[in-house]
Amino acid sequence: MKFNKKFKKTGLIATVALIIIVIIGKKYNIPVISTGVSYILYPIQKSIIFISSRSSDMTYYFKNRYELADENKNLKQENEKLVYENTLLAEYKNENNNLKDILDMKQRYRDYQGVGASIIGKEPGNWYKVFNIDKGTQHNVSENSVILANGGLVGHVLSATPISGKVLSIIDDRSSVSAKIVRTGDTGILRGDIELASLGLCKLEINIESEIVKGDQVITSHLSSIYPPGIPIGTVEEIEQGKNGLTQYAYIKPIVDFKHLEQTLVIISNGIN
Amino acid sequence: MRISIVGILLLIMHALSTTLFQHLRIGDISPNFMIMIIVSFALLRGSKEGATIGLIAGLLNDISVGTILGPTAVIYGIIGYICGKFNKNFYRENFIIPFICTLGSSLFYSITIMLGFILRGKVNFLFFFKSIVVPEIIYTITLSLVIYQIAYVINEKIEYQERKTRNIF
Repeated sequence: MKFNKKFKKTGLIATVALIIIVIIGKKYNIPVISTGVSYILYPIQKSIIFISSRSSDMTYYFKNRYELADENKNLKQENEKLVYENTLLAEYKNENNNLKDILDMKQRYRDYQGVGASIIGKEPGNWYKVFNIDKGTQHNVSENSVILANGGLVGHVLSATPISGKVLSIIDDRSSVSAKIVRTGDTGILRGDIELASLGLCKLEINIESEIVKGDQVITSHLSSIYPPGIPIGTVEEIEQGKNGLTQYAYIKPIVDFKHLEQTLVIISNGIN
Repeated sequence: MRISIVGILLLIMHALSTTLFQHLRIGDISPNFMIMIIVSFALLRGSKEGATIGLIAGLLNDISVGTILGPTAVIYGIIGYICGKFNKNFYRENFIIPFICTLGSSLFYSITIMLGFILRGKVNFLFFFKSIVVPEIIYTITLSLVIYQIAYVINEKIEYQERKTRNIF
């Protein structure tokens, strides 16, 4: 590959221009390169996801017509049951609010404002669990925004461009979350682990004196600066003694199913402060 | 011409491997399509182009899913450069060298990624090799035979076009 003179000249000018743009971007805190790449990648990824989901929907429709009719009947019956249960729950909600007022715990379990986001890309490799969402700084999603799905914790935003965001999930090996056991009140550090990531589990490191049992609920603690307190994470699956005799490890099964994750909810930053 | 075609190929391959090829995972292991493309083009075109393609592919990966800018770009760049060194000593119709180069590159990539885990205190090598590195290598080298064929055809087409324009001189 031989560069001729003209090509060399244009290449030099392009490099200098790029460096200047990046420096200006750095000054005003705009990630120029990643924004550019995301503007190119976003339409491709979005259209692939759209087409694949649509085509699978079409085949599903033709395949499962009779199954759907049956399912519809069952769901109608279930719906009647749920309506009844819902009225009961509404009563419970009122009661719960009254009790919270009495206990002055309203601050801890309030509802956060959120914006829905769908996943448009996942990490192609096998080592880490990072993914891209289709909401960015235009939709008030910023760095360290918290991501939920099905009411459980998914992770937080690593960086955001105007139209897309990069999310680090809690089962990634680099992630750590301050967690709390609801029943006993002990706090510990919840880390992702490469050996458990393929099973969709993560590891909680906790004091050996804490009496946790299988099935305990785990939520985010009040100690974290990124995650607001009281977000459910999952349940304890298995408990293991540490080698040094000071800590024990609990394997946590998150509420979220990371393998089939498609829709998420982003808590926007002004919802917290 | 060449730059735009290879650039678009890399972009589409990256977009596909983050979206549609997620369904190709067997036992939660996905093949590394970027390494296949880098090795194919490096073998067909030489180290300069191999290193450039590797750098661009690595930068794409770092920008869209990495935490810091650089590591994957450097690893892919090195892979492209070293595989390009074999350019002069092999017949393009031969499939053994692409096969061996993909194997070596995939192993090199996995080991460099593993260094990051070792620095964080995860040293269960047996697990890494048994459940991630070896399955990934097998999957990658099997598919690389197909990808090499495709890269070969694309390269032939581009070279044919370039020969046409160069006849003017």
